Amino acid sequence: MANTQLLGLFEDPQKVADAMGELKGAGFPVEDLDIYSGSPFPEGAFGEHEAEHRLFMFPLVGALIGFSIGLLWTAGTQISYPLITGGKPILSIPPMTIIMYENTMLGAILFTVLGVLFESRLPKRDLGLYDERITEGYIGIYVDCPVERAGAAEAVLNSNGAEEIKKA
Amino acid sequence: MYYRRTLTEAQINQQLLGTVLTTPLWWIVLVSLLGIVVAGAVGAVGWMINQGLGVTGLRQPVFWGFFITNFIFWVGISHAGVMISAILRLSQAEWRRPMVRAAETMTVFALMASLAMPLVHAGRPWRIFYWVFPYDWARGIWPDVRSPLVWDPIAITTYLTSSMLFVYTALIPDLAIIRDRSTGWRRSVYGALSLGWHGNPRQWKIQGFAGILLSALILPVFVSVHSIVSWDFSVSLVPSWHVTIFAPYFVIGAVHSGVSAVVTLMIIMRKLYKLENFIWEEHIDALARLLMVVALAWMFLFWLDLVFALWLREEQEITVWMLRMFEPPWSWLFFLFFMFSFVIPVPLWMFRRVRRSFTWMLWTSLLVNFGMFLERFLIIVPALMRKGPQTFTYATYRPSPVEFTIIFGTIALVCFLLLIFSKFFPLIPLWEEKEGQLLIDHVKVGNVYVPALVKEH
Amino acid sequence: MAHEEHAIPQVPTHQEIASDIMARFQNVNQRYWSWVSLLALLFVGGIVGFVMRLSDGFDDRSNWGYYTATLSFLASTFLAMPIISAGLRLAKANWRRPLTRLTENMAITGVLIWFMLIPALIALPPTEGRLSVWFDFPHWMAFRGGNLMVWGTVVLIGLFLLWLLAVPDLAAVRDHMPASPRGKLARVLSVGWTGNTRQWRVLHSGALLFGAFYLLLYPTLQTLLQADFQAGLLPGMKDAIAPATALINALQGAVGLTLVVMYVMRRFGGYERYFGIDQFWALSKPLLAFSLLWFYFWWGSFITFWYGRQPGESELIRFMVLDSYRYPLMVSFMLNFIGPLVALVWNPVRRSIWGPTIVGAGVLVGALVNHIRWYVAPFSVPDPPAGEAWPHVLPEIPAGQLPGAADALIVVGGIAGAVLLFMLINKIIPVVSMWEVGEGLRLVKVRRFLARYAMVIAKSH
Repeated sequence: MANTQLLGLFEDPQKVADAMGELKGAGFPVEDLDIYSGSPFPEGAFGEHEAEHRLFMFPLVGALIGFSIGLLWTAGTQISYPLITGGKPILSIPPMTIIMYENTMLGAILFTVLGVLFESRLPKRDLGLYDERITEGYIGIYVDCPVERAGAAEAVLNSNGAEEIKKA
Repeated sequence: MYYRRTLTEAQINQQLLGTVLTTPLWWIVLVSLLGIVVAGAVGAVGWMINQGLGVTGLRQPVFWGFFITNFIFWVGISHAGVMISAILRLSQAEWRRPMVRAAETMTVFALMASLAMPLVHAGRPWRIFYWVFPYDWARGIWPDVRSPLVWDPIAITTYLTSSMLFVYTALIPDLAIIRDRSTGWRRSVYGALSLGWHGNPRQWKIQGFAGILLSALILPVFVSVHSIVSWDFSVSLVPSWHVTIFAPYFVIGAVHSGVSAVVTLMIIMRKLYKLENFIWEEHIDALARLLMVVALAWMFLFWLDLVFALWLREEQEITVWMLRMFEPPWSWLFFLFFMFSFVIPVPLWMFRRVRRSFTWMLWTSLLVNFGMFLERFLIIVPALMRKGPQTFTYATYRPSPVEFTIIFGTIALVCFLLLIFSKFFPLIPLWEEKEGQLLIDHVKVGNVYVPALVKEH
Repeated sequence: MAHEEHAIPQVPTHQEIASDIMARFQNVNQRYWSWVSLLALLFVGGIVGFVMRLSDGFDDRSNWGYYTATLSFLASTFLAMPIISAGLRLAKANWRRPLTRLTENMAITGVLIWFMLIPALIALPPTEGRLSVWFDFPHWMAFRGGNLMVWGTVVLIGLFLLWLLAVPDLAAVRDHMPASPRGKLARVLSVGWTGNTRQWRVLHSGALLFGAFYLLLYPTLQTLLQADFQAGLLPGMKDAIAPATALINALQGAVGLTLVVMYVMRRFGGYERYFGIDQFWALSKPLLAFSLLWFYFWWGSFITFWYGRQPGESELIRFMVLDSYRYPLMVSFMLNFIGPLVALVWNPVRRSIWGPTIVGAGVLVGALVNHIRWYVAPFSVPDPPAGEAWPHVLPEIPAGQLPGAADALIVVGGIAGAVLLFMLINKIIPVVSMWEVGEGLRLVKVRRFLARYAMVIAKSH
């Protein structure tokens, strides 16, 4: 069954919340509805689908990789060139700790940023159904539905005061 | 605090994207002037490389002078970004919104300036390579990880990379706003940089978590960077440097100078970019309160450093401190440092009228940074001075015009880079401002409306 | 529909809160007396331990190591708690309101701590011939008079802060139970409070001012504690960071103790609605921060000594870190740093009642063990032969000292005495501030926010 997409543009956030409620009431699955806005609203403000994510796992993996690199680097260089300086032993743990710490944190931060992109589903080449007014205060309701239900969705959006409805 | 000057999203876009979408004349003039100063400093560096370090005031035994002072100074300034941004994000302080981006950006450019200093200081900058990277594979010679001089580039590179990613991650929604307001090649560039941002709840949720998570991760890095810089000193046996308190003392000192630099930056930004609707007296007041706490903590650590330096009654240790505090010209510099970084500004900040005056806060914050530059200078130079074997006088250090030119060049460089940045990216995060407007409310108590915020629960 | 997905937050009225707290305050049941009796018994045991030590005299200072460790542990946990109240009030954190009184009530333990200081000061050797932050001051005036004065001032400010902030609630007790002895005491302590505008203004300003005094003076107490009871007795100790370390660790201990006490109050005192997830969650964040700082400050000291490699430094590392006191350090390392780090990085653990409580309890055990390392070790260093100046390097490394029966009685009895005082004051001054919670309720409203409900919280100037 072919699907189509609609984007209803609203000025008033309350109307968006009402339209979302009505769309869900009309049997549109919440996973097929999305909201586009120019600034963040508190989670659940529109009764939208609350996204699951695993962002917190990324820094852990990154930290582990960074720590391993730091350990290999510091231990490897001292073993490769075993020169005693200042009476400090080969494989001096205190200075190794400092470099391993920095590498751990760098790994964690790099992976967090990767995680942010992955969990945000970015980058995206094509903006698809979108409107530039969204970054100027308009709020868009994006509906992905079977072609034959597009009319029902459009009616709900219209009845709740959509300024404009764009279609794919 | 939050119930006045309500702006629409379109108004916020228009007011904060002013210099991005148009180019005012003052911007061209300022960038040109600063560019000339930077070019002068680059010329001075070239001259120094050509002539050798003899053109500086560095002489046996004082081989750390203005360049290393300036290195520490800029690392200190760079702490402002994380201090303001990460701590205020984590504590969800509402007044953070207009200052996070500018502070984070200043971190990046200040770090670049600081990173340039050891390169310049080396005299033959390309030889830095030998310290940091494995250079003789055949003989298996590697950099010595036990040397604190190897820790510095690792820590600063980590911090610089993290800070740039921190700035970029929070910039993505604003890049999408500029994308939607521009045309032609600019639209393509901003489109690519904004990675196809839509602003759906998932993206906003991750953006919110990213701010908190990156703040939490970058905070320990920020503490470690200045600590590692301090260990350059304290793991040596030089009198007055070999003290355990240097790490937190340097970090708090850095926060003191860094937050002062943010105050200076905010006030100048407000004037230049006409940001009266975004940067208010209340913001500067909040920063001044923070500065008072930081300054007191810094003074506590300074006092501990002094008391425990005298504690062991070791002659060399006491000699350095006496030299710093009581022998001219160091005593004059010490007096100025102490007055500028604590005695004058902190009591003044106790007055609400001073805290809410842009003029007073501009000058007191500049004073602090002048004082903190002197503080770093006084930590370094008197400790390295020795009495000559037959002369009974101290070998001294006097910075040369070449060094002064390079120091002023770094100040110009940071301002220059900030101006260039502001031409392409907004210095105040638009989406954070919009979010702030959305959460403003009030509670009526009796006849009074008390400003309030909507809290997610 | 969407509106039903989020429950409507309930905000109780001031009257409901006041009557609930008053009812709990008035209720003195059998279980309360059982605990008081047990604590009193343990405290008496502590006094017996103290008398045993006293009978041996002060000549052998190593007898007083555990006593001093107990003293410093109490000063670094119980006496540090008013800082939480003062700091959060300065920061205008709204979630502080139910827990400030609890931390202020702990100031009463300062009385016990101040009296405990006297024998510890007597056990210290004279400053002649050794290093001291008092330099050439006569010793009777310097570390004895100075310590008594500084500690006394901190205790007095704490008690004044406690009284000042309790006056409105004492007036409520006066009005609710006029005939009872507690009501009569409240009548005296509430000094005719009527709650007029002027009185409230003075109360608010006084609370900020005395809170700031406490914040400014408490670091001096920790500096003297470290300088006189530790560094001054350890040859070669040049550790400027130590007072700051002690201060940070004290704040960690104070947060840990607050969490544990909140849990106990929830579990056994019926105070669930006051010490809720907001308070535990909010306090778990500084607990994590102080745990990271625990390692940072320790490391700052260690790395400098390790790189310095001067004889005095190497011997001290062996004594305090690698040899004699390595096990106490390892225990503290696990409970004050690794444990909190591993547990509290997880949001579900931070955002729970049990998570921060368990970590807080661990922090307290770790702090006690670390204080034993910090003070038993220096107290076990023998004096130099008569007439000789103190050396700059440890002549020989003393073995780790285990507690004797008297020491165990003192440690348990000292802690029991502090808890006993806290339990007693809670029946004179309500453990939750009625006026401060009530004030917070007026600054909160519930609002429909699009498809959900949200709390709106005001910040008064």
